[in-house]
Amino acid sequence: MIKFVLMVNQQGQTRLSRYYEPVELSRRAALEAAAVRCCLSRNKDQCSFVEYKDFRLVYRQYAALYVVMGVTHSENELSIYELIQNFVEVLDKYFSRVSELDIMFNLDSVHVILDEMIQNGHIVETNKSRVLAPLTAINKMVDG
Amino acid sequence: MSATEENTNMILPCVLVTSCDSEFKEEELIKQIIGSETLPQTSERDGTVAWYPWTINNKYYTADVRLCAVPNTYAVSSEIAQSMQAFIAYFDSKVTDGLEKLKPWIPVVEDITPEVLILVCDRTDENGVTKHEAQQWCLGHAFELVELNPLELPDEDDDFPESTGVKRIVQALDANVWSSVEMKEGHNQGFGLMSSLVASRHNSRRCQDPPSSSLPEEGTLPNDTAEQRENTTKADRQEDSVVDAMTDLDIQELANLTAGDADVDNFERLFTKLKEMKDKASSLPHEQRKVHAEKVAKAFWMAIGGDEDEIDGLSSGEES
Repeated sequence: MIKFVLMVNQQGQTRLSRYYEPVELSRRAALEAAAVRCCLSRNKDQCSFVEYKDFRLVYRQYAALYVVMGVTHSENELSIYELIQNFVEVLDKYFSRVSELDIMFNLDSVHVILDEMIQNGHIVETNKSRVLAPLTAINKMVDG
Repeated sequence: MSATEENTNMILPCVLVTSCDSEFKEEELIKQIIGSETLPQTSERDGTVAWYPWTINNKYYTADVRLCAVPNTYAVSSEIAQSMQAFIAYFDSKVTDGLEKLKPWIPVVEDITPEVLILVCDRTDENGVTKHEAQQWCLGHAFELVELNPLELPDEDDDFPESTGVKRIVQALDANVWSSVEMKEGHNQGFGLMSSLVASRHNSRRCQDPPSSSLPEEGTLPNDTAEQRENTTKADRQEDSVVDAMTDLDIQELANLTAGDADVDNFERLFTKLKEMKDKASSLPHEQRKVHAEKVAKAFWMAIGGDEDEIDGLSSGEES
């Protein structure tokens, strides 16, 4: 099961966070900081899977942004590794070359995309067009 | 007029640029950030501190900022401290104690906590400050390391190549919400979910205000504000009738849209109109919202050619 999804920049600032199991707001900052530190301190040749406390972190770096997912030991880390790539590819398709700025200023859309792909800590959709279908429909309606 | 101009100038956010390498002038880095051969006219010079105006311009916003060359911590005035939103420090990576010279800045940065923190050097050096050392330092102080001329260039075949050098510095400065930010119109790729959430929050706050406050929908319909303001001066109980008049106008338009030929254009405009009405409803207090929703639903029913008998008598008391 996926416990949480984070997007952080190289300074360690959280740009997106989504939790799939309850974590108190007050504890989130510390958890995010610790998880991010853990990923940022590793060099590029090191493995993208890290044992962390009683769970596992799977992360990938895209330019200046890191996508980090916390998963339980029963989760397949390779599928999560591919999920991250897929998620970023969907963002890239939607924003046509996604950047940190796009995520900052369209956080609502990013959350819609994420919620199409992950529900309750489980992967529910991987097809890019189907993931983007609701957003495309809404945008069509708004643009009239 | 000049007094107000000075005032706005005072609050422009500042990007503090400092160099801990006597061989490397702050102005050199500022030139590269601005992307011009020559430095612009300093907007101000205060002792050892020089200010350079710069406008950050990207797809989402423009923001006027000042690049501020500060040689040492003693030159940090209260004005700088108050307006500093980014901190860029250059250090000499060829000597092993290069990072030591940054020490005086740490308490200053920790005190002001600017959003953007960047550590710059020419390139990390195996015989001076190694990449690992610099990165560990950055991790400890929440900085980002940027090498102006890195030894290893990022893989260009990568779908998401890393930016390096000044380009990365500008990118990091872009990815910040400055206090002087001015959002651009028409680049909103989102569907306004956030803005309507913000609107409803604003509204609920306004509802706690004394009853003398303006109409709930003010701000959502800029064209009608003048009319609304006129009405607010009148008795409070008139508020309802004004809102209703607006709704009736909307419904009238809905009806007109469907009265014509059933072409695609009309149908699309119908949806746009519905969206507008929905947005408006989201800024209404709870009770009015229900009445509004009822009216819109009925109007839509009529618009799509529904039978009037079907909805007759469904009214929650009020005449439709």
